[in-house]
Amino acid sequence: MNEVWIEWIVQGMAVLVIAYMTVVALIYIILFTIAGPQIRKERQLNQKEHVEGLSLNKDTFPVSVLVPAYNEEVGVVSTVRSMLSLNYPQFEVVVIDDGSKDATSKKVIDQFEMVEIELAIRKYFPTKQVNKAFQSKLYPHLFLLVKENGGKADALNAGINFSRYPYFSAIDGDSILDRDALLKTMKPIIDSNGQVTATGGTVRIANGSTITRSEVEKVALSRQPIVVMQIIEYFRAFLIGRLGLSRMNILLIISGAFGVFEKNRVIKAGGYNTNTVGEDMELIVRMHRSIKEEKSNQRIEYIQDPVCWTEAPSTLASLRSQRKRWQRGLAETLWTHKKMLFNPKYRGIGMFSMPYYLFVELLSAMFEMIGYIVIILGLVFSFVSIEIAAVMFLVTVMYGSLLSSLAVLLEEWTYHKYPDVYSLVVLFFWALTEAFWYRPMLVWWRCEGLVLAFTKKSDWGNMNRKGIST
Amino acid sequence: MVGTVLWVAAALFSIQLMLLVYLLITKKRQLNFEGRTNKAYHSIIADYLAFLTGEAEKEPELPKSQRVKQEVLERLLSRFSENTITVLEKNRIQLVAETHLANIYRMRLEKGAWSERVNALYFIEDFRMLSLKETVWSHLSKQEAADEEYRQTLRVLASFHDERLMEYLVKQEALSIGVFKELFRLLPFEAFNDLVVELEKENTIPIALQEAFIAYCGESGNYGYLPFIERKLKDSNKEFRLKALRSLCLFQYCSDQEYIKILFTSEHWEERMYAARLAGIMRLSEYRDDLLKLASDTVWWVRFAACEAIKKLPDGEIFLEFAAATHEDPYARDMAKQMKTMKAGVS
Repeated sequence: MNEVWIEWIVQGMAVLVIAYMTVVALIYIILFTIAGPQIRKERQLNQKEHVEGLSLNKDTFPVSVLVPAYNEEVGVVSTVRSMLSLNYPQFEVVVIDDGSKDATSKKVIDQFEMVEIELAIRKYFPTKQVNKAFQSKLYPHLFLLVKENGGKADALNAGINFSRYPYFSAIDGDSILDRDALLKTMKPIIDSNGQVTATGGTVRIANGSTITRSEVEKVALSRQPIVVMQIIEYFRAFLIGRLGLSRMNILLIISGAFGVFEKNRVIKAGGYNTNTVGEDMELIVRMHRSIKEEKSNQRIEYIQDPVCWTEAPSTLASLRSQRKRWQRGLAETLWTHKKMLFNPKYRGIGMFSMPYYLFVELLSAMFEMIGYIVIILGLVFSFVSIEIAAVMFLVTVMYGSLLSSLAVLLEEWTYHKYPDVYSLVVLFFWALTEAFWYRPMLVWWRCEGLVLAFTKKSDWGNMNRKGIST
Repeated sequence: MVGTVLWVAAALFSIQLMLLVYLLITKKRQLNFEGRTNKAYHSIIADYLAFLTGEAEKEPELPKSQRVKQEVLERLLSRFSENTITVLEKNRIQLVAETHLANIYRMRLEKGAWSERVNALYFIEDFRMLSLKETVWSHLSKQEAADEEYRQTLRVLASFHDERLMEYLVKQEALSIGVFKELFRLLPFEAFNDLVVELEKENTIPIALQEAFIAYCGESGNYGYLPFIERKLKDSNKEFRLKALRSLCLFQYCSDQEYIKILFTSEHWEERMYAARLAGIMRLSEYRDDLLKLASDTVWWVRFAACEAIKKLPDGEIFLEFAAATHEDPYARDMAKQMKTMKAGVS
């Protein structure tokens, strides 16, 4: 009798997981049908001409580029060099050393001939003590703040306090930007006369590409499967997920690695939250909240073209640490703003975006975990028929690989930067294998992150960087 | 059941396979095209530049393939136009573009995809293809969305100094201040004669256009607009007043210096900030005490502008030193110290 019951439960769970995965796949297909036409429409656009006038335009709002850095001695100099070579009429670069234990500050001070300056700092937000400030003798628009350790959000808040311009861009200390990236990211803000209050660009993985003098010279794939899988994953997340959501004005994430924000709106929203590891998403949710509560028409947009290059984790340990942190951040943000969930007052954000991030982005790990368990245990103990196991496995494979293939298509339409056809075959091949090794790993780590969500204090996350520039 | 599942799997796998084949074919074609274009470009560049600069009279032979020819010419002319100085060179670019590209762009504007139309408009502006002025004007009437295509169409017409454009612009509510200013910079001063007269009266001109024009006046450096700007300084609209103050900072002049003093005590911090900035730019040392007072303003930006202005005055560094050491307000002392140690830090 018990066996019959268990069989029923297992079969019921299997059906639930299949239904869930089908709905999720359908949502992604819908997002693809929203994002795809936009990318197709702009795919032949001459990007150089598109921003040419803007670089000479006196109305490009000045921007403060904030680079929070914690133990980034390996990459910080090339990141700063990349920022200094940005093609933008007026900007300042503010590196915030968040109490690094390595030589992050020393590298910046030595390399750019920084001298100490006195500070008349504003306090939009309270932060940990800023001990010293420096200005470069070589580049008067380069500054360094040395502060006590308080986490990335605290470092960004200190940067906002110090910054002088009406817009700021938050860039990770290990990233580099394409020369026109800031112009392209600011373009919607300028064209809309400030109606667009924040924009985010695409983050791409630099491992494998040739980067000289802080510029990507040749795009190529990494030889490490774990990195190739992340490349595919990023295409899918940015070109399908974010673009689709942005088109509906319900985008909830602008990557912490690269985004531009209207300072006033961020100040109104209260700045970065120092009590979460997902400070980038949490800020966007609060900004949406503040926009909706003010009944303002301002928008938050994602633009596919400007690219920020970053170093992806290349070891299982660092990838695991990153994914656990992301999952925790997502859980914390959704918990903090649970009142927005299914709340019609927040329109698309409350009715679609928040539920999407809860059920699709956060809880998918749990559903997929159940799926894997049901398949394995069901087959071992013969609770599940081979047909159901096959259907579930098929859904899992298709869920990952078809969408990944579509994302590769969008990548080719957007950037077409891979210099050979071989790279496309490699991407397709690894996309097909996703369900067999990469996804189960991620599912496990994300479940770990879910468990840890409310138990650990925030930190910067550790990743042994090799540096992406030569 | 198993059979159905396998069929579905096969169908989905086929879709992916077809997608891969499609991508491989288009990628291969794209790479081939880029290869052919690069080869043609590098083989022709030296001779063609000689022709464009007037060193050679005979035009070098262009690639046979229409697509390659278009791509090569666009690259050549774009690159050359970035560094073009002489009238002869400009005329050569225009002539070559009119001869080889005008019909292609006319067709593109008529039947091309969105990105092809926008690219065509970019090049029409860059190569000053005046023969397409009427085509672009009629293209404007087809625009439904206020997107990049619409804005670029306006830019082309402004750069061609189309006389109908101002009349069209004063009816446009959807354009931003930035776009208006961008267009104004492309137009000749004569285009604004009627507008200045209209703006002095009660009017129905879009607010964004009015703000844009007041801001543009300072940027243009045309002192003929100075009386108009000084009148706007006393307008009831705060944004107009601020834009006028910003323009005066760019003119680096204001005939009514007494009025600057009045603004030091304005209830709006932006007016206090611009007044301090203007006093510094005009080196009005008689307002030194007012500026020292503003150095302890409640708003950071006003304190910043006041200390920056003090620094610009004759003996400003000494007064700044004095303020840093003895000002009764700690915020003013901090700001004076920062201003002393910090260089003007812009890119």
